[in-house]
Amino acid sequence: MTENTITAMQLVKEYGHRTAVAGINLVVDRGRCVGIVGRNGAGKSTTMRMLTTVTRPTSGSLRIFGLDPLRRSREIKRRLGVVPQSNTLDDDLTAVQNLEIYGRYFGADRRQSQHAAREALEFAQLSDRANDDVSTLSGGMKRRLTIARATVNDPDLILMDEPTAALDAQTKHLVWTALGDLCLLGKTVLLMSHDMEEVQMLCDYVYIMEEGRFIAEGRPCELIERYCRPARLDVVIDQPGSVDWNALLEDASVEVNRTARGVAIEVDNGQRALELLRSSPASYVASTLRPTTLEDVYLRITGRSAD
Amino acid sequence: MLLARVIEAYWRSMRRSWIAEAVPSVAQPVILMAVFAGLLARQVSEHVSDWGAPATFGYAQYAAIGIACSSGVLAGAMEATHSAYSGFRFNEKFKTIVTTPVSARVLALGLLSVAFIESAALTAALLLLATPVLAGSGLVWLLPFMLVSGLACTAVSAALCAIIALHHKTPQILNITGRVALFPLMLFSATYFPSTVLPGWLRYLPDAFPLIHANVTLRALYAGHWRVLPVNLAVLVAWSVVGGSAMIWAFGRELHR
Repeated sequence: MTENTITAMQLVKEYGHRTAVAGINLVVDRGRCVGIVGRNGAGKSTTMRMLTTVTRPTSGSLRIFGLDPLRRSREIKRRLGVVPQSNTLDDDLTAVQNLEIYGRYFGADRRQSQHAAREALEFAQLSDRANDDVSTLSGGMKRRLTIARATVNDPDLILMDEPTAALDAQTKHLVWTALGDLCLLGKTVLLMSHDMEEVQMLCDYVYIMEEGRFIAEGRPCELIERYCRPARLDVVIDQPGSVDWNALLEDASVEVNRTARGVAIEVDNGQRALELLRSSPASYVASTLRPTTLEDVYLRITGRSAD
Repeated sequence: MLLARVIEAYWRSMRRSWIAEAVPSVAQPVILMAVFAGLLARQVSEHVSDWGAPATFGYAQYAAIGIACSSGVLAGAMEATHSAYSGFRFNEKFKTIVTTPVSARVLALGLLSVAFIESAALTAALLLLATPVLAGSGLVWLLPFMLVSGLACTAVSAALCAIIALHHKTPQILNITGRVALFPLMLFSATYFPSTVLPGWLRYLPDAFPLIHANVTLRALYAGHWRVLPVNLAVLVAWSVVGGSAMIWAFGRELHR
């Protein structure tokens, strides 16, 4: 039987009159990679702070490894790896020293912490930069080092808060490879992110968070199936509002959404829709057909407004 | 054990720059001692006392004890103040540390310990450098009492800064604490002259802070007057406990919210 690494029931966190987390139920099975997606301020970081046992929930029940965080915080922390959103490496130290010191916080002796640091650097493909000052590393290397740091105590559960925020495309893919390797190693990973591509690629199960609540949950492919049509047609146009898309696509039920330079239309049969568009007299600049993604699900559920 | 790990981490982080910190920390009080205990002392013919008994030594000894004590304990206070402030302003680093088995309480005590060790080392060095002026058997009693004084001042300053930084994390807070609180405190806490020369209420204001209790008691001990020890020691121990507890509370409040 699979053991639940995290079980949260009706978890609430209030700061005065403001409710940051409004009664969430969260179950993370051992060995799974689970994602929580949501916009900034949705309550992801507060949830993460409760799961790291640093912040006490206002109400609700929380068990991590079957333990009560209020009573057995230190035991839980020994089995946690945490990747915070911002860079919290010590710039005055080298890469390997950062990892050694972190390992020492978990009670490792000097030799153990040195060994664990070397292994973690190898995992992050940073062995050749071990003795370089952190300040000389690129943003992507620092991020990989931060992820490596979260593995020095050989944790059972790794919590990540926006691991690839503000990284360039190449670096993102390097970090994703490292995260994928963690999943392959059988680590339980909880990923907080607003990068839908990242979550869809890495996570087995996803919770969508909005205003402190989970408003949808499921496997990424299930969510796509449940909330979206299979394909999305993006059309770049030069004259807004000049085309009746429902008539053109011979489907009155398709939903047309504005994009930066045109419209996005979700359809059941992408190839048929593309053919209808190409054979129509409608004026457009370009068109792209692609499968719908978790981002489409997210925008469908939470709306396109920034508020 | 975790407390030792916090101290070790701090030391490893700062050891590259310790000379840059240590040189001015020693040089500044040495210059002050040379000026006050050397040059100014020649202008002061009277014996000076601030512990309620006839003075048995001159201004050179008076100033040397005050400068060594104030510099030592305030170095610890500044170090702890800076650590607490920067830890709260850039608190993601502290927040990450408390996701490990190191708690906010252990982290606060670790920072306090680092500042105390720095204060103790500087105090010992300054007493050693002051031996040409402070010869005599009374010197033996100064170091342990200065360590207690250092702990009290360090704990109070760090706690004060941490509590202020809970609500105001602007860079000005450190300047305000240093210039408006610590520097005048050093001037009015019987470091260079007895508080009896201060006008009106200003005479009693420094009594509320630990430094004056340290200075007055140290001079009394040096002169062999033990009568003032119990009360002042109790005040400093009380300040250490209150300051340390307040600092731990502030760290918990900041890092566990």
